[in-house]
Amino acid sequence: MAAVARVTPAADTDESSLIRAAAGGDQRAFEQLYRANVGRVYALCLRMTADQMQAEECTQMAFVKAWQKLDTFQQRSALSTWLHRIAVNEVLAQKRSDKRRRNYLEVVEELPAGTDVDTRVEVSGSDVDIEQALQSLPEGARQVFVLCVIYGYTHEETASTLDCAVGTTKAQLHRARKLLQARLN
Amino acid sequence: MNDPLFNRFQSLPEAIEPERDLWPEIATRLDRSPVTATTRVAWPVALAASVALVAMTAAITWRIASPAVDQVPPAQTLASLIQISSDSEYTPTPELLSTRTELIYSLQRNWSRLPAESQRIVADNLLEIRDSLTAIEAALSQDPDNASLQQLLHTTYEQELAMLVTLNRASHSLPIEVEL
Repeated sequence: MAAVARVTPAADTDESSLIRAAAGGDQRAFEQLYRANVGRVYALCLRMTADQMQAEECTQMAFVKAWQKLDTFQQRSALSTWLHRIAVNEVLAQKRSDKRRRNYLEVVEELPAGTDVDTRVEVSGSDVDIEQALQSLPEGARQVFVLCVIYGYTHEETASTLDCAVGTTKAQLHRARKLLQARLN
Repeated sequence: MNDPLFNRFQSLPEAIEPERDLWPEIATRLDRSPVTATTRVAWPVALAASVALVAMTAAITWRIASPAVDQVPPAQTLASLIQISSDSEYTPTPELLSTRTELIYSLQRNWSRLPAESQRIVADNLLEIRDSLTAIEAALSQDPDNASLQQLLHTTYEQELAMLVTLNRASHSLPIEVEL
């Protein structure tokens, strides 16, 4: 299990100049951007993949792609937000290409629109317990839970990102919730 | 979503540091796939050349029957536009180079038969292709193993060859048959 730590945010004033320098080919500037953001990107990849090696690979590829596209980054959003999108796409692309992992079909019953899940259960456990419970979820349920709950995507955004129906994301969230509830209590 | 379970997950740390430093491998990959201004410039320039080739072919077909009206660019200008630089690290395949040499020889021989306006169009388009080749070679010098750039260079040489074939046919004196 990876060490869990909070990252001190990089100073915004420095970030713009680092982005400009990196876009001009300055690898040292890009390394500083990497150091400031790798924790957030890796956390996302680890939570999405539940696999340390895949998370490392996705993190590395996300930064390589960010380097390749840095001159297209307009700084209309935060760099961390931009990197987040690249990392999500990288995780999903690697999942799609890794057919060896797809030797089974996961059937999920869709919930009708407007269906809410019953909640109100107190949760105990350390951050490590919580992360481990998350990693134990089936892939589809985990990805929906990570995007919807931890990163605040709407169901529509999650469905669009994962290329599935909104009903499917609701069903997966419901499923994830029930599994997590059982594991943490 | 006011849910204790969800709230607990939302309070997780935003970042998790990887157990090992991932930067050295990233840096290696950056070295293999540098992003430079020249790399980005090469593609639009080459694409512009492709578009120009189509436009030139149409223009030549129409202009070939028109009488010459202005000054004619000399055949030496043509030769300079299609000369492969001795500094270039990348040259076409021997087969393409051989065909190219024959076409250039034929074109130079019949250069004066082309109307002046056609000659200018030809010169402009050859110059555009020459600029594309220069830009692609500059990008390749910074990223020698880039297969896409190598393919683009080859394709651009083929476009130049196609243009030479078209010109020879247009001057009604094509002495050889070339399969592209």
